[in-house]
Amino acid sequence: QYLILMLDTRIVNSGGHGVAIFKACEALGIQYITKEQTVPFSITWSRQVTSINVSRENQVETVKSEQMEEDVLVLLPVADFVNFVQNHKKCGSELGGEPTLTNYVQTVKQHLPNSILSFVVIGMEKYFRDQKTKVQRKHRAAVLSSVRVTPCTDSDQGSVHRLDVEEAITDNQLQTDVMVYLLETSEELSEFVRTFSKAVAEKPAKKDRLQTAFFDDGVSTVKVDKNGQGLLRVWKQQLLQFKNISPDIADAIVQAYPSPHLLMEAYRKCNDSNEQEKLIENIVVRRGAGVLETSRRVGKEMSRRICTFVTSSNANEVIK
Amino acid sequence: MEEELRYGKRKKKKIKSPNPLFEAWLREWKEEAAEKGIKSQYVYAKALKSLQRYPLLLTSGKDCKILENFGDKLCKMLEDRLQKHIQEHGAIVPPEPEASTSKAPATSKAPARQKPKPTQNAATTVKRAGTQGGGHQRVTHALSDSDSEGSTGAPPPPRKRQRSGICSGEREYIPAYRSGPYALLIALYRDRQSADGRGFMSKTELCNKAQELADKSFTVTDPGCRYTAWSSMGTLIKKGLVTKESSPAKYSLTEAGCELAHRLEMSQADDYPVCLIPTPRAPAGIPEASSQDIGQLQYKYVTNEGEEVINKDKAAVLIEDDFGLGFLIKVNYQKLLTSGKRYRLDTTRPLGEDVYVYLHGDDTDELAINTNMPRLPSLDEDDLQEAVNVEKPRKEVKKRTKTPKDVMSSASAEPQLLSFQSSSPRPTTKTLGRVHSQGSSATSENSQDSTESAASTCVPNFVFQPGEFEIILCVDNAEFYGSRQGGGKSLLPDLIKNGVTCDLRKLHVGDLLWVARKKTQTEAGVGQQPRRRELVLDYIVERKRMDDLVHSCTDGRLPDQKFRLKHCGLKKPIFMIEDYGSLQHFSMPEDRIRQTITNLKVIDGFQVKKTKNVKESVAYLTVMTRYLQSYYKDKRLYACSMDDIKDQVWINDITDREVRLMEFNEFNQGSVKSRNLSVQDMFCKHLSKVSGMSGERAMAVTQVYPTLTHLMDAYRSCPNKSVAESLLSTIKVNKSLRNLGINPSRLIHQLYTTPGALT
Repeated sequence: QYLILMLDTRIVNSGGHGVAIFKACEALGIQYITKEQTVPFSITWSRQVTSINVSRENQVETVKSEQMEEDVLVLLPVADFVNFVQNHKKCGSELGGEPTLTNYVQTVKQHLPNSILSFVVIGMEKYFRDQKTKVQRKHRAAVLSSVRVTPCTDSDQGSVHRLDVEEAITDNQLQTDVMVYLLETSEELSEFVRTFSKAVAEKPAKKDRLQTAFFDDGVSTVKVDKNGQGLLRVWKQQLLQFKNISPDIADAIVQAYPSPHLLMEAYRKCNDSNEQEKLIENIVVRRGAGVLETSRRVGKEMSRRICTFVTSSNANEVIK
Repeated sequence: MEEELRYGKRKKKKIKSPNPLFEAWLREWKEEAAEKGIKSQYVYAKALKSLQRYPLLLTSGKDCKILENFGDKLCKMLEDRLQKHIQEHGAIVPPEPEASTSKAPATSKAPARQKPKPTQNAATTVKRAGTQGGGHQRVTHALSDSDSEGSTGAPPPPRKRQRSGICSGEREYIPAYRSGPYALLIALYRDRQSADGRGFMSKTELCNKAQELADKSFTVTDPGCRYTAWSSMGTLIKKGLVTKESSPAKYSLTEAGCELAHRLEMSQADDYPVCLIPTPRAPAGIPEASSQDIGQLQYKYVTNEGEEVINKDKAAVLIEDDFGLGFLIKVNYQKLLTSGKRYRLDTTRPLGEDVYVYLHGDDTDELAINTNMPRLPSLDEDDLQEAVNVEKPRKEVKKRTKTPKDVMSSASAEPQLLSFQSSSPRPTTKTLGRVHSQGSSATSENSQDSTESAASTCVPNFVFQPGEFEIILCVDNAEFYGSRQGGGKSLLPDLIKNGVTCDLRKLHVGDLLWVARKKTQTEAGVGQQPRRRELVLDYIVERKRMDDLVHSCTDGRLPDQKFRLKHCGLKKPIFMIEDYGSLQHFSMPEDRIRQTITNLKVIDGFQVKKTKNVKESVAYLTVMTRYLQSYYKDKRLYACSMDDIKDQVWINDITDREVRLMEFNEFNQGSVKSRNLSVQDMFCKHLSKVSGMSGERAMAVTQVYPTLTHLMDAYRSCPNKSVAESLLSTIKVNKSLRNLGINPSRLIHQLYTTPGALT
């Protein structure tokens, strides 16, 4: 793998999560370097690309270059995140003096204009837990002392709630299209970085996998040996591609016309298109077995569809 | 100890004497009795013998009852002695490996094997504490005195008490704030204080009352856990705070319970609403209704034709075996839920904050109360609070490598990013400028540009002016009725409770999306469901609970779903992944599940939102809907055709004043799963079934020979068989410009030209 993971020195020095990321890299077998990055707490990937240039003297020279990957992971310290959420809560989406999550994400976007960003906050759950224990302690103290304590007023100063976090994240998603992921432990981070790196590594190979218009419907191709053994099943599989066709119907057709050629011949022998359309209409389809056996015909619809497919030479004609 | 060393080499190491303390005591008593010459020495001897033969661990004196030669008396003696021992030495701690290795190498295996059962461990350590005689300082009460036995059944808070409590033996029992026992006590207490209280409550009453006081559900268990908040009732009874009488059970507070509840109530009564519920900040412009009087359910009867009437006689009627007689009404769903009346949802009619339901005949009045059109309810504070504030499944506390300055995960650390942010460069590109400029003049200028270019490429079918439309969340039918087991999966009731305007309909792609619907001038016609014009917003959500995700991975549906989502024409597809129990219990390895999720984001370019449970999902959708509502409030929407939208290169920015969207009907029809294919597409599909072919290769062939007829004509015009066989072999596949190759070409030739039957 020609991938190098670069992580900001600050993650290692003050983040305390360097080890987790190193571990992830080692598990994948990719290189990593720590380097001060423009964006604090960011993780970027670069790929070594070998391109071949044919120079004028017909000399082939390979050029190795490093190419920044577009995916960037940015860690966000909890304290900052909480701060952002608070600011968001205070001023909503209007531009206030205080930086919000969205402001920050946009700042980062300016530094890395062509990147796909993902943000990670570690330990939010712990923060909530701490908040909760605080409340619980107060509660306990209050009960034990049986004195009316002044209500805890931390809802407007210092603490944020899950709802606030959810709102800030969602608002940010709508505005910047960047998702913030909440993770808890170093292990989770390690796992996240590992899968992320792997995905980045495989991205060029798999990027276009959703572009081809045709997708296998789960049934892969049918194996055929040298002598053409298995082609019959291919024929049946092909018939199954039509809409609303059951294996029973396909079987019946395959039995009547054991090769596409025979079917085509049959169509050619028809006098007019009307006859063609009705050609296989009356093939009997057997379903079930024994006493439960029922039989029915292939039917007009199906006959017409298959007829259209076989006889039409208009590529854009829609099979209804 | 020596004995154990001797047997140390056995293949299967037995715990030599599993109950050393009991044995020691019995021996002691036996010797005492022998000295005194009393006959009871034989009793002890027999008991000792049968105890020695028993291979397993006994955790209390009572447990010895199962053995031969143990009577009530003897058990009692052992129990007492054990209690005394615990009091004296206290220390019964799950053994730490290093402690056991030093002195008794052979036993070191034993505790490890027993790990899953802490109480058993405890007994082994009793032994250690007894035999080694030192180090009794550690104090816990893991051994089975009745107290801790009960609280293992209780939800986390009491457990937490144990863990944190250093000397919790003496610590007074005070249930944690908003925990199960807390809610139960307060509910009972309030009932007792209220004028019409009977002094006791039934289980259902109690659950209903207590639910709003607790964060955890009283009826539904968290995944991966067998306990509900109700489980803590056992603890309360055991502690003598609550008594349970007669059948069906009646629960009432004891004096002690009453006192504790009083104290709980006093300390929290005044600050409760302020303390934990944040004031909801509706994004500007969402009207906040504050009508909270639920005393009387207000509704209108609805006739078969959808007309709203006051008289019950004209209302549409439903008669069902298991439900009885019902009358169709239109009612605010939220209020209906709180009213506790029996009803059945009429899902054939549109759902929103007002729903159509059949109200049970016994619960109806002759004349419906004439109400004004109900106002848009604000987000229900309690519900959302509950939705977001749910206790999440507690993670196992792992050894956290805590560096002293752990800025990443410690909330108390100094914010780090401010310096970076202040040094940020000014926006350079214009697009960024647009994002940043919040001043209205700049924004409108920019969007003016964008719409001008938009107008040049297509002519909008119609326009929604700002304020003419409302944003509605559409939920897929299947997601609601979901053939998959369990009703707890559905989002809809919770969404409606949160005051989100929802509509249930068949979606061919995705599970949830938002539409902008033109407001009708007269509300009267709603019942007839007039065709209202609707535009689809750019966001579409595919909801995947973890088990669904795994399932669709294994049966191969996922690529198809991804593909359809990607190509449905909406620019911002979101995968909402909902945790469901532990990741380790699925048919796929944990790693691969995680990788799949990350791939969705990195490789396939979906936005991925992770939620921990249904409530978080609902909270996310609620927040999302509210923010969309506020952002789209001032926008002008242009309806465009699907093709235009797909060709549109840029992505609508949330701050644009004018947005081009497609119509819902067109969108939904365009994304039907099994739509009719053209002859060429079908031919391509056919070809891709031949071995050695792929979608890509089949496509390459159909580029040259678009239909079967074309191909056959080509074959016929070939001079001989070998030419025909290699006809397709030089077709270039894709960008890589590789040849298709001779093998597939020959196969296809064979398939279509074999005159006889195939094999």
